Amino acid sequence: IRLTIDGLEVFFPYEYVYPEQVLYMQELKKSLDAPGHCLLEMPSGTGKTVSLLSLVLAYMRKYPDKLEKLVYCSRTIPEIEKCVAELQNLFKYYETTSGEAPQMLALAMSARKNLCINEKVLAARTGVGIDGACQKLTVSFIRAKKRMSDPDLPECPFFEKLDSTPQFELPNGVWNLSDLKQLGSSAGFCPYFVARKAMSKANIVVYSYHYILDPKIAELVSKDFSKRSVVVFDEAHNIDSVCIESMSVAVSGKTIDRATKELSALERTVERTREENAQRLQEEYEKMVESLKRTERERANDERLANPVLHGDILNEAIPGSIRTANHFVIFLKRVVEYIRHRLRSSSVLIESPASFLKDINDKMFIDRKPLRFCAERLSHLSRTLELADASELGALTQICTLATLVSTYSKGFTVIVEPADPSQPAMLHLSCMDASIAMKPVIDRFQTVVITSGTLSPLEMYPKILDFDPVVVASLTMTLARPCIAPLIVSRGNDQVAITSRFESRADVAVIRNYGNLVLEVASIVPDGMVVFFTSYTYMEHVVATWYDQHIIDELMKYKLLFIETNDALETSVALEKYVEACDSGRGACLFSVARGKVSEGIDFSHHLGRAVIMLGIPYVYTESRILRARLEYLRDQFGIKENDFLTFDAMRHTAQCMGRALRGKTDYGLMIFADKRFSRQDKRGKLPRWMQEHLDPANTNLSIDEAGQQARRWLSLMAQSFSKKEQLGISILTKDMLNEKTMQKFEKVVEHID
Amino acid sequence: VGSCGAMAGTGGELLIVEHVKFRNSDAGKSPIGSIHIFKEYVEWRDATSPSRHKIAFGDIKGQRVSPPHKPKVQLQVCMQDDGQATFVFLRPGADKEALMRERDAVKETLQQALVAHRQRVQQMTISAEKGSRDAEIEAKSKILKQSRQLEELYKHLVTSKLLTPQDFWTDYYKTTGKTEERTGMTGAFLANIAQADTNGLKLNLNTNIIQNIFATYPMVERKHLELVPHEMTEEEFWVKFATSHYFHREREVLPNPDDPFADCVKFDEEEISKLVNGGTKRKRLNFEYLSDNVVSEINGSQRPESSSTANSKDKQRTTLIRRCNYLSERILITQQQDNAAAVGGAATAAAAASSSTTNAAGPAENGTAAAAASNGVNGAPARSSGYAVLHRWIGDADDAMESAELAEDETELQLQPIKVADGTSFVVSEFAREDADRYRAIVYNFMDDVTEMEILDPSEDWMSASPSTSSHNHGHSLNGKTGGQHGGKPVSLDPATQWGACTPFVGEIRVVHDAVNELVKHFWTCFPPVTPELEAKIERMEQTLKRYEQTALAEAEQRFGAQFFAHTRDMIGRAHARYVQYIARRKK
Repeated sequence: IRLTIDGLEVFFPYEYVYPEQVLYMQELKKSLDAPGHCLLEMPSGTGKTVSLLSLVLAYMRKYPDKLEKLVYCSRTIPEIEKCVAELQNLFKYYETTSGEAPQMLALAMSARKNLCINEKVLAARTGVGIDGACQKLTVSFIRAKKRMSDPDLPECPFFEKLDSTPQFELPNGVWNLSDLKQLGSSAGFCPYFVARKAMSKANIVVYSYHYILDPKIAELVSKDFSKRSVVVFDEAHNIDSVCIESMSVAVSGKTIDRATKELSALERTVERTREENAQRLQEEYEKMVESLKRTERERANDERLANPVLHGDILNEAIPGSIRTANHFVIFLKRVVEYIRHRLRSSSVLIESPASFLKDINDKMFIDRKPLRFCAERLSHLSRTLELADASELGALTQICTLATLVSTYSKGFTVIVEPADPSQPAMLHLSCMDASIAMKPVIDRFQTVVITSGTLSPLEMYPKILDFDPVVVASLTMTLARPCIAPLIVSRGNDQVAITSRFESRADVAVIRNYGNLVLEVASIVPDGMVVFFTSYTYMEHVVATWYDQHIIDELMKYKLLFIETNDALETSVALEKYVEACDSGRGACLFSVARGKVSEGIDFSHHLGRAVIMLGIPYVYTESRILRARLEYLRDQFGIKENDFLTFDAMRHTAQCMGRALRGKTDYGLMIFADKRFSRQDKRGKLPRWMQEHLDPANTNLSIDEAGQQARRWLSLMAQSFSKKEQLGISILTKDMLNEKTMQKFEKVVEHID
Repeated sequence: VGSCGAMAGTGGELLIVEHVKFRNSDAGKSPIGSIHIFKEYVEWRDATSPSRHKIAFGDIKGQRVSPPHKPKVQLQVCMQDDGQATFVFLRPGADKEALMRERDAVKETLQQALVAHRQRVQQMTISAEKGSRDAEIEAKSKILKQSRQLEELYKHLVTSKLLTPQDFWTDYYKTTGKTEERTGMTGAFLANIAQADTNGLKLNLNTNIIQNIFATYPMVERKHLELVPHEMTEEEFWVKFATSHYFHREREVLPNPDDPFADCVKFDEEEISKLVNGGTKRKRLNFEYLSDNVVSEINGSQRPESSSTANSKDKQRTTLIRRCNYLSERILITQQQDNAAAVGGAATAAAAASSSTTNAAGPAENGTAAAAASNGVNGAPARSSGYAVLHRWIGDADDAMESAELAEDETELQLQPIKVADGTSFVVSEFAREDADRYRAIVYNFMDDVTEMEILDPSEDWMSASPSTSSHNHGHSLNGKTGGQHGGKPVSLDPATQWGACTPFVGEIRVVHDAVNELVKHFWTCFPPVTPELEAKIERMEQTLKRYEQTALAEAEQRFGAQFFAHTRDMIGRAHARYVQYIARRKK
């Protein structure tokens, strides 16, 4: 149907629309009009993606000079693929209704491991391996060498063919990963480089967060995107962690050993090159100066996305003499590596600021701050000059150079933590980023609209603070429902009235663990098909499972359902998950034990029969004894005025919401959500859950015993088991074109809530 | 193994090893020859003379090997009668280790062959005990014993070869149509096996639990076959099982030669890694596929190195978790295998049932169709068909878009009415269009005839004491008109008076009536004759009726007087008339 959103005609590819989708589009339009950034929360299963794409596409068609590009960032490959599928559907709808698909280019982008079609390269299997194998075949100087002197060198036929047809351009349309691969196979082009080439020209790009947030990749793929772009971060509830992760470096003894090896290899190469071609080394320095100048010019002209690692200041400075020549630089690096090795020998924990780190390195090794800042840039130039094709050959050294550059560039927002070896882990030196806004800043500054959206962003007011930006729209939308298909229950005590909680003091208590077991048994005996139980941490789960085994609760549970448990091993977990799905699909029914913050809680959906109940055993507070976390908490308190407890609760509740949200993936879906901790009863905890969950939480259900919860669940499940059709939703949670008028929409004004 | 000089023979041998000295317990000298392992026995052949020594597997109790520090490499086969046969491995030019390898190859092959042999023997015993054939005969004779009347009928009709036993039994003995669906396996079969009480350990075991253990842990079954009853009793075996480290999933198992279940652990570990290395079929569950972050792999920041470096301590802690997963996975796999077999069985059963719908099998008992166990407790799920909604969800989860719900058809239900077809229910077969037309024509024809035809009046059933008669009439008074077609016939006399006149003969008269009833029933159940088999049966029954009329009936009429058999005559007459009509129609 064609909708009119605030005067803009929007093609929406279905005959029906949810009221919240209309409201979502309205909010989004405000933000595009401003233009400014926005934060939007809407439950998954209400069609966020399709609403967003429909509106942005309509906007881009109507005002091509105001908005040129949509960059859609998602977390996982399946999410990227689904987003592109929605887009394809939308384009098709344009074609059938207006006779012509939009003259636009949209494509998905991913790493080589998902796009490569060269069997020989794919044989490397791992992501890094495939990248390395590809670079060895495609880097320019190797190809030059092949042409000039050594025709026996292997080559990639797909890359060569693409290279020899420079006039080839990806035609307009929507290209999913599989479509790109298919094109690659049939035309003989390399899909990865086709996509890389097309990205800057494309109107819509769909890829994962890292391509824009991680400075090392953003530099390669995203830096020349137009300013008039809208950047969308979907499923963005963890965006601060992604930012922090992309800016943090951890170095272990192993890394140092590898770096030393790499250094001596590098030294040999430098020597050899000097003998063979001294000229090249001479030119190298000039080239680097030239390229830094260019970067500076571009940045001054606001043509590029800034790279947070390459700080603005160094562009104006001359490269210090101490690292100008290649062998001087190698010697310099040796000293840096030795210094870090020395630090790793420390017998006590040390936490220090970048400034004191710099002072110490200056005192001990006479290394200035200035040359350190050039490390990363200097190394990448050197590796280019020396024709080192495979970046993974310098992996450890790159890591150390990044560390050196970051530590000398930022006096704020980072901390250096040295942890001595203990039986559970080797000695580590962390350069930990504590400020998510550092990685986010270039994106926020450059692009006119940044949309941060997810099903679970509550409490919304936290994100502008920790990401340090000023959104024009902050809104939470709830889910309109024709039947109460969300059933949150807070279980606070066992049948013996002992409070259940994962508080540190009582979580090891046998009575608490037994009550948790009784709860799981009770639910397993009521709920059909699949159920998922989340634990607060992996160690706690191991402990509880062992206790339950002794108490014969595991055996009891097996009477009702098969049991599968997440493990530390990704592969084992994958297999267990698959068996879980098979058990549910076959009607056998199964129970999955999983861990909040684990892999399962982030990437896997349990729609319909795969998750008829989710139980959260305790509140998943992050492990607070971690030094990295401590440092971050202090930083947040000092810089942003966020209280330690507020942040911890915020973090625990967003993970809770994430776990709970796994079970409900649509309006026809239904699932029990059981919060098993006394502390959930308190307003300061449950008030931080997303609004769409809170609204269905009956005050009577906030302090239940196991039995009472069982009764509620029984009643509710028999209600949900009734047949349910679209007709019953019409006008309540689903609208047709005729219903889209002021009067009906007035009914839904409560669906959206703005937060100032 | 080949390098040791061992090889598989061409004459059905599993393994042949040369240069083996054979020492019998009674023989003085010990010649050198070769050892041959066959499917059912071991044979040793002298290299120089034609002398052979054969040991049947049935006589073997077990085998022993010489300890590693002994200079000779020997294998001892222990007999049931406590005798022993010792083989010494003496391959020239081979060092001790090679010899031991050779010996172990023999031992392993022999062990496997022995296990297979014992399995076969066990199966044979089981089938001999309760072969399905016997069970059927038993059931049938029981039916006959329970009803005197049926017994008489059987004697009268089957023994006299008027009816084939198959025809006779179609109505009185019903096989369920398919083999009984195996009861699903509860996941908790290990739960209550062992109970420690004050007097020590108490075991709760029944065949069902044992079956489940064997199905889930095939290695335990193998051990069972190996050890029971040759080395320990059934009881000892299970006590050992319940106290083994293997049974207690949380315990680490140390390689202990005395623990027969140490092998099981090794086997399980192998299976687990096989499962894990098999990977996932569903891409969306594969974490490596999910993530698109190559750089952080290089960067290594805040990520554990790789899972393979997890140290042994970690492994130990996760033992319980891994075994729990493995148990569930095994149960699921076993169930899937069962299902695959059941689907095959169901297909044949459905075929059988669809043909049986055409005879008088009676109406379907759809009411008994059980609702699928929602919880999967013991639930053997029927997954072959009729789960459109579920299948849509399953498909959905893999690749549907988030917004796809908006596009859904109005007609698509969210709930699935479930019909479980069990052996007793009516299978609605789908007919091809022309077949359907043909059958319909036949039925219409038949119905036409019925209205024209005079039908027996159930109210006149003066022999109503016989249940078979009443059921027969009930089944065939399709359009019964009331009213005295038999007007004024002797049947309308007061039965008591008439019967009183010939009390001693009532029994015999009755047998004749029953027999005719039975025969006529078989005749009528062939209509409408939709299959060639039924057509053939009509012919056969017509012949039988004629024969009966001329022999047994005629004889009875002579003995007791024709007035007692007017009704039977009438019934046979109608059958003949119908037959004539049928032939006439068929000729058309």
